[in-house]
Amino acid sequence: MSKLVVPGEVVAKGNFRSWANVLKKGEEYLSIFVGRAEIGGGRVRVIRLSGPYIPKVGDFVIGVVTDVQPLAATLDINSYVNGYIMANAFFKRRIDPSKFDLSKKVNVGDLVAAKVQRIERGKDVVLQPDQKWKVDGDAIFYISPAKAHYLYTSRSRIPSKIKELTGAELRLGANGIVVVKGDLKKIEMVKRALDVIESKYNLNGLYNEIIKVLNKDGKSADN
Amino acid sequence: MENQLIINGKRTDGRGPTDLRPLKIDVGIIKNAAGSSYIEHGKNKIIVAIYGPKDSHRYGMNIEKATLRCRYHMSPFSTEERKNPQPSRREIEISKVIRDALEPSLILENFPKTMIDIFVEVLQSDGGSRSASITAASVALADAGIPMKDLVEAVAVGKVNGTLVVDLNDIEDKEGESDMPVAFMLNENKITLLQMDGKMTVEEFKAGLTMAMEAAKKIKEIQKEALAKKYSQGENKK
Repeated sequence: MSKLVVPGEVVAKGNFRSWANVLKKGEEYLSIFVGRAEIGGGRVRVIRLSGPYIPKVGDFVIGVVTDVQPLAATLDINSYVNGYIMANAFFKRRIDPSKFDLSKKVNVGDLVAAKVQRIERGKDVVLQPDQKWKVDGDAIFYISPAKAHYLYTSRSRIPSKIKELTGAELRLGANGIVVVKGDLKKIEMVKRALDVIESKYNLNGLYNEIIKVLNKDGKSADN
Repeated sequence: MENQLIINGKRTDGRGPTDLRPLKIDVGIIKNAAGSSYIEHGKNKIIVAIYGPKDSHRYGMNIEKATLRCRYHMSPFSTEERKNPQPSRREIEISKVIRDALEPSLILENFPKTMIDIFVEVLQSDGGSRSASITAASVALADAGIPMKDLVEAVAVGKVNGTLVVDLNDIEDKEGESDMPVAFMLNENKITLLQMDGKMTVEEFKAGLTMAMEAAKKIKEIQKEALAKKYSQGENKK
């Protein structure tokens, strides 16, 4: 099992091809976060266990529209920075703002799925709307962004299992926003599964634990 | 006449010169905050909460990195006599000292144009509250997921009745000959805070610094245990 490390702790010594969330100091790699150290395959990294969502180019995020201006919409992406989507990106061509009204496409409070396209001046996160950018849901959950990778990574089997066992539709963002579509029972089951991720993320066999909780849920609901 | 604060090598609370007071740290006690900690160091009881990174106001914004702000505050009930809740000159100074002691350990360049707030609330005060605050704030910053080069741990050394002692309590702080709080980044081999009240010879200063460093190593272990306790919850027991 990966080792728990704290900031300043030596994660590994030697030469590695790539590293993440560590500081290289001579031959030593020091953690910069509280997290789980993973070493192998020529790389060393620390999976952080706390902290805000740090936008990265290529991430898929879900944001809540907070402002619509003629040229761009501002989104709350559950981070220390806002996301922006230019009007051109919604219309998929260069537009004249005097002729097109962005508020007819998107409004304050809407949920939008988008990809991080670039980060300007270190802070302004420019987003590209997804093919199906309008996110339709009955409930929205926020999980700790540092734990969102349990759901978000392509390797994770957890999202498809949650969908299969609950019957709910899920949209997931790397920023920890989960939008659920389904009836109240399905939403409650998804919430149980998300609670397991939040509280038992350290558990070996988290996948099986989620199946256990959802199966138990199913039975109790049938009775 | 000088008070006898060390009798037969024992201090007023029964400790030897290099002993620390009992120290306990809890992590993540305030759910609303990005990170938090609670420390009991001797009679000191202090809560630290971290908010941010968050959007910075235009005033005080740094386009290169996050702006770190700190507010150290003593509750009116933290002392034997009621303390005026308005920030005193001492509190404003300690706020700055805590910020300056922690800033070198943080990688603030990752969050340009934002700000990070550190709130330190002293619920019960004893000697060495600034040192305890720095120790607790460093843990709270790690809990908030702010990237750090190292944890910071602080402790005071001083001279009492001509003897060098570590981790001064309130009476030793007030009646001793000198008091020197020091903060360390041990892995980086750096000192981020060094203050001194009173006088020490160069030899005493060197010996005091070594004693403080040894004490800081013990404090670092307690910081690590506190973080491990929170973040290993739910882990499979072997």
